[in-house]
Amino acid sequence: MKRRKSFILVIVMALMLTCITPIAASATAGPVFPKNLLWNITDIHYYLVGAAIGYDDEVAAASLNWWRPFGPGSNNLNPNTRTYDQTDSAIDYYRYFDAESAVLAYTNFVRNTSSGKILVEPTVSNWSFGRIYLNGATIRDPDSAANAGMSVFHFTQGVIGHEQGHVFALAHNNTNPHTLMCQTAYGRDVYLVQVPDNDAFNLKH
Amino acid sequence: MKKTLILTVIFMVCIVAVIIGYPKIANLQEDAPDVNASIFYEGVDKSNIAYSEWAEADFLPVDFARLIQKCDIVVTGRFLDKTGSEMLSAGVVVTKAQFQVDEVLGGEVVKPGEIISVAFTGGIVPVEEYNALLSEAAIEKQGLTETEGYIESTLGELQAYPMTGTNYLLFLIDGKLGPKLYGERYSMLKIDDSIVFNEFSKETKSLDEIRDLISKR
Repeated sequence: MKRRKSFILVIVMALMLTCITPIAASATAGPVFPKNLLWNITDIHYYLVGAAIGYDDEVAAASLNWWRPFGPGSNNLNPNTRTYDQTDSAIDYYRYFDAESAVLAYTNFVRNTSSGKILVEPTVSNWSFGRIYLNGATIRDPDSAANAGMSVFHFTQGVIGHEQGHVFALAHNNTNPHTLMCQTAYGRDVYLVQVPDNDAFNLKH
Repeated sequence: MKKTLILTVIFMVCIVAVIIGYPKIANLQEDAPDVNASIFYEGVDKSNIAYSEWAEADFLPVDFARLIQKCDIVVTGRFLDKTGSEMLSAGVVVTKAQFQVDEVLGGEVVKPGEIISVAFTGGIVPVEEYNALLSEAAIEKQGLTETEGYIESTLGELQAYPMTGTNYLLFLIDGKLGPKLYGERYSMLKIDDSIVFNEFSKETKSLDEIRDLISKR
């Protein structure tokens, strides 16, 4: 009788574990920076500086993809649209051209303090806004897009969406290539915001 | 019984191989450079750095296969000193440094014994120079109000910090900046006893293997 009781107990525990595991897995958010964007997340706009205007379609597509106001998988980001006033933007886009580089794009974290110093390491200090630099020589590279199994437009959109994630305080998620926050170099195979990306966003905002 | 004995011997051989091989690889991986001693800071009083920038970058793979496929110039040698840093475009700084070439593993534009100028992203420039390429609105927004001193711009994890007196294997692309480190830090590989370790892909190769791969491209 006692043995039967133990057996039932083990079965019950096993069933409980089976139930818990998928829940835990689905709730796995990607990594985030210890510090955060100081800008009001419900009033986010971006600004395209100079030659970055040539990337307006890809930036708009990436920005729209992060905007998830309704239903399951929603977030507080709003409106994440373009502004024509640079003082009103939480994200500024610049374009540079370096054909001798493996770099596709990068993000700077800028903090404007009373002393005028920029303290910008996202592990050390909060930041006031972000600057994204797009490498015009590599970001629309057809070979790289083909390697990632995407169209050139989607590849570029993915890189821009990835950099936006940094401004929103998301860190790299290189152990999961099926997330936007995985770096291209580590095999990112998506160009849209995924559940772990959005969960990470919601942890910070 | 015989099977167990064979398995035990194989296991012991593996243990010995790991014990012998690990220190060499560990030395390449863990001997992190002292960033402050790098030529990156040469000629600059660090107390004059008014602003510093950090970056998170998205980049293409820089494993050995890609480095060998992409880079026109592959050389070994040593950095001598920094030539200087300049603005590539608004907000983007590049640095050039003198590099004494010992051996050319790939490419025809460089000769052994030659001193070449190698460029890499990041560097330290006067704030005034940095601001010259930015609009008034951008300067004000970024709080770059100090006109004295320097701004230090780095590429985060990708930033190359070359050291003098260290033997490196460089993977370079020749372009408008002259030879440039293609994968920044990940294409500047420290040579230890003719072995190099690729920090990006965690691959270890001998220079002979690299020569062989280049000859087949």
